[in-house]
Amino acid sequence: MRFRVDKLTVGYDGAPLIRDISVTLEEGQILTLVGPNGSGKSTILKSIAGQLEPLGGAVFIGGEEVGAMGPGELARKMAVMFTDRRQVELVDCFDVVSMGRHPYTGALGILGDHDRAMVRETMEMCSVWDLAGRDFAKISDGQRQRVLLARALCQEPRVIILDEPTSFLDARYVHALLDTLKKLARQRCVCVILSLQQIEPARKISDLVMCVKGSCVFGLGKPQEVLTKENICRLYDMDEGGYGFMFGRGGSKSFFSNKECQYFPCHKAPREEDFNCLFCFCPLYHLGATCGGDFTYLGNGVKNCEGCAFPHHRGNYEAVLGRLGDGAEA
Amino acid sequence: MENRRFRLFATAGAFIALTVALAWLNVALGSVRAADADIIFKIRLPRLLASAILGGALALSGFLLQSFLGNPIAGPFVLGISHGSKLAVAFVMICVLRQGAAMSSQAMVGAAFLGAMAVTGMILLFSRGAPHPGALIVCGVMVGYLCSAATDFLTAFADEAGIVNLHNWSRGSFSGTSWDNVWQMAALTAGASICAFMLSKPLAAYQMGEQYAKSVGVDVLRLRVCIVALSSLLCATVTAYAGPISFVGIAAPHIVKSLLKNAKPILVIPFCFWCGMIFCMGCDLIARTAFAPTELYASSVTAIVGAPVVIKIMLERKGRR
Repeated sequence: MRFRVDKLTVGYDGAPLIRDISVTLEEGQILTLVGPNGSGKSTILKSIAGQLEPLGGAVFIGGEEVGAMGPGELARKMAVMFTDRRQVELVDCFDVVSMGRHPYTGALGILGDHDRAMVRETMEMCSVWDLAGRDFAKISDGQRQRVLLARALCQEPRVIILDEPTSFLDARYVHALLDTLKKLARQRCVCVILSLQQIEPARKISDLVMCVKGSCVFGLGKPQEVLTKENICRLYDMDEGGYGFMFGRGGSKSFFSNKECQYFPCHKAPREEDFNCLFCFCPLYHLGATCGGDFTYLGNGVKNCEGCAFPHHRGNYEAVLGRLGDGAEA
Repeated sequence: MENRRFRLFATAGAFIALTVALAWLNVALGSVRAADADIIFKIRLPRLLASAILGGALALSGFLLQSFLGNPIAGPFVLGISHGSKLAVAFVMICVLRQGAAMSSQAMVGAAFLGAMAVTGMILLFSRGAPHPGALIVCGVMVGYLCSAATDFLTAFADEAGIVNLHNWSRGSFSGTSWDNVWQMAALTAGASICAFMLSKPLAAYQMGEQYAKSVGVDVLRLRVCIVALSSLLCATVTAYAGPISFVGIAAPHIVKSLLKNAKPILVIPFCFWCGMIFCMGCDLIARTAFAPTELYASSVTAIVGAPVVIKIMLERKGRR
């Protein structure tokens, strides 16, 4: 089912923030909104999902306008995964996922056999079936995001909207989650619209990318066309040095300079599991093939530290620095 | 999952045993032997039923508000409803006294109910404009302060002897319930409880957060109005017939959740009602018999029994997280 956004104007309390957003997604395609914190990505996603009244324009799923659908009808076509994290108690993961069956169950919400099978299928797909009986409040952030993804899928949507699904995750989980997402989009022919802060994952999974910055949206298109040096510098207000540093083409020496990171500078990271700066740009990046970790080169020559063997955590910082020194000498 | 099923049956079994035991004790225990049919039938039985029905109503009202406001300490009284009742009772009582007449108990029930519903109406108006449920708590508490200040103001000018009934009423007790009262409160409570049970599906979705509830097709605004209206109606019923009874509404939902280790509204709602019934039957038994012939106020007993329970559960919860 094709998904279309037509001249959407979004904003709060009648004051337009971003005007005239238009984009069309075919079945199974992934659209990523990239941009710094507070750039309006969430506002766009909320408006598309019907949680925020759009100030102009319309959203269509397979030719039907979202604004004209009843809440139940919309829930059967669109699922969302937002960053809103309310503390839930005494609810196991199976219950959380089964919440996605809400639009399909009767007045008391009792699950039928088909609903149970559906819950199991989506949980297996997101590899969280073994967590079914565990308390949702007591699993790791990575597991939690995957459970929430299973919940969204359980809704059997045609369109899934995810607001920064990777923001609580460390490198391993970012990779795994986005991989699952891509697989799902293809297998189930679901349109996926998500927002990401990091450029590299966006490059990897998207069919379409849109840059969002403050009051404007620019550069809608394929990732390799949109995520150019000029656009990225414009998006993050960086100079050549910053870009070179982030993407490994010379430039700044300091690697604590990613001011867009929510835990900048790195050593202020509140908890170890939130510490993901090394994924944004590994300090060993400049060393090319001698960095000592696992990596691949993407089509455009950008190094991709996926599955890096180098433990990406704070305790390992000295070792990372040491290795950086070795490499530089060699 | 098996563990949960076991807990469900164990809890149900324990509740059945407690209900039967307390019902029997409530009817049979006391200075008059069970042989005196008149006392049993005209005094103890309606009182037993009143404590059971109103206890259930309180517990359910508390559960609705707690899950809606996402606040573990929310109870039926944070919304200022009992204060509204008290104000209305005080107002009517003083007016009637001016006319030189005494106030009938039926008039007091009516006044309390009207007062509670007036506050409920106000809260409902606020709830339409409230940006988030937390604002509603603040509104409720403020309305409560306003009403109790107004009550103090009224009683300051009243004749002390005339308003002694007001003081008695405002301490909360199940005594002196007639069969007529029992039928009325049963009808009100049953209606509201069935409606609340029908809300268990959207309430379950709401536990995951407001945005999720919206995204699976719950009309959050309507849910908000329904919850506030139902819990207020339940609370108003209790306040009208028994005066303000505290702690049951806060304690019962926590007890049930920790017994069942489950927060699914479809299970918690009936069990919560049941737990409130047992809780109030037990407290009323203590109130009536512990220092017989002197009778305690049910509200004091519920606080004495309920407060430690709430404290214990809150501390345990902190350890878990």
